[in-house]
Amino acid sequence: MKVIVIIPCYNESESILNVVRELKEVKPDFDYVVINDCSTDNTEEILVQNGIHHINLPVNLGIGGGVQTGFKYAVENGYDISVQLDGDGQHDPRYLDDIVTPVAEGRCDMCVGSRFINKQGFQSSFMRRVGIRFLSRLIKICSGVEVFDTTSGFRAMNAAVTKYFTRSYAQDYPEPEAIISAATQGFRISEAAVVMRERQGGKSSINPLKSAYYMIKVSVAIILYSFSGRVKR
Amino acid sequence: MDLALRIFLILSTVIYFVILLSMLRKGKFGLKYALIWLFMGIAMIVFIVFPNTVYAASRLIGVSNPVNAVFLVFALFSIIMLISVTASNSQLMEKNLRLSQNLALLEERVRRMEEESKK
Repeated sequence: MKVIVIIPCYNESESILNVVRELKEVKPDFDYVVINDCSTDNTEEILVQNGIHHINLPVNLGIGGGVQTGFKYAVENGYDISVQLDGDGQHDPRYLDDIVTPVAEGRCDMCVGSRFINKQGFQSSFMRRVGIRFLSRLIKICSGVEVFDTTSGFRAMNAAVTKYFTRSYAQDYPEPEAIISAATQGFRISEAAVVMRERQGGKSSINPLKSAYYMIKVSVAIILYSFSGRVKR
Repeated sequence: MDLALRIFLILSTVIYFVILLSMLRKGKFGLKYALIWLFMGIAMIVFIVFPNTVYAASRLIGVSNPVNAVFLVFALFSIIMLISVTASNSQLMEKNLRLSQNLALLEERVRRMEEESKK
């Protein structure tokens, strides 16, 4: 199985080197590509100096567009499985097998790494957990899919799902929408317990105002998806 | 409020939502603008069902005829939307500019590589 690890990166110069080194150490048999989303710090310099395989986006596209670029790369290069691994160090590559194996064995089409199944490791702030739980219930009501960690970007998907996402992927705050979007396309989604860490450096791009907008926007999108028919596969 | 007017407004709002939702499903809107139009639709429903809110608001801002107050609000809202859309347009133009330039520079690099590999 050819696996590509997509590492979106915007101004993560403090952590990107460690993220890639750790990945190469733990999973040298996986290919990877860092998507440099037009970073304004010295991320590009660090990537070039250390020979890190990367794609430079000419314009900032955000997490949706950045990861989608990775999906396009995966399809163009014939990968069987694509995985998202955040560039801030929150995702631990030691858990890659936990999300890749269910997809590789065909037990599901997309596997989301969830912090909240075993409740170990970094659990995120209280407000964020409330929000995540709300979205999780909403997705369950609108599609029947049960995923606890809806905003987790740590996920693996097979070639069919990856190809679908190259055509249709939410541009801002894509993670919860991607779950219900894939579900309405008839893809099987499962979850695997993983442990995450706090971000290793840099700043989060989410703040309270953005969070409120996030919740409203994503909730409306999820409700709208529930009105579209389900594709049979 | 006049019953005929109420019925007309309710019908208009229903048609408005039908059109909006169908465009949304076809992906003709970014969700950000869709949200704005959706909330406007909800505000319209509130005004139709509770016209007293409109009467109170128009007295508050000093407009004697409530209908004029509604027009004023819609006009202001339209101006805000226009500002938002022109800002969005400017950002798109800037992205377009950068993309074009990057593409041109990339083309030169590829052409240079091709020429060098022919030697």
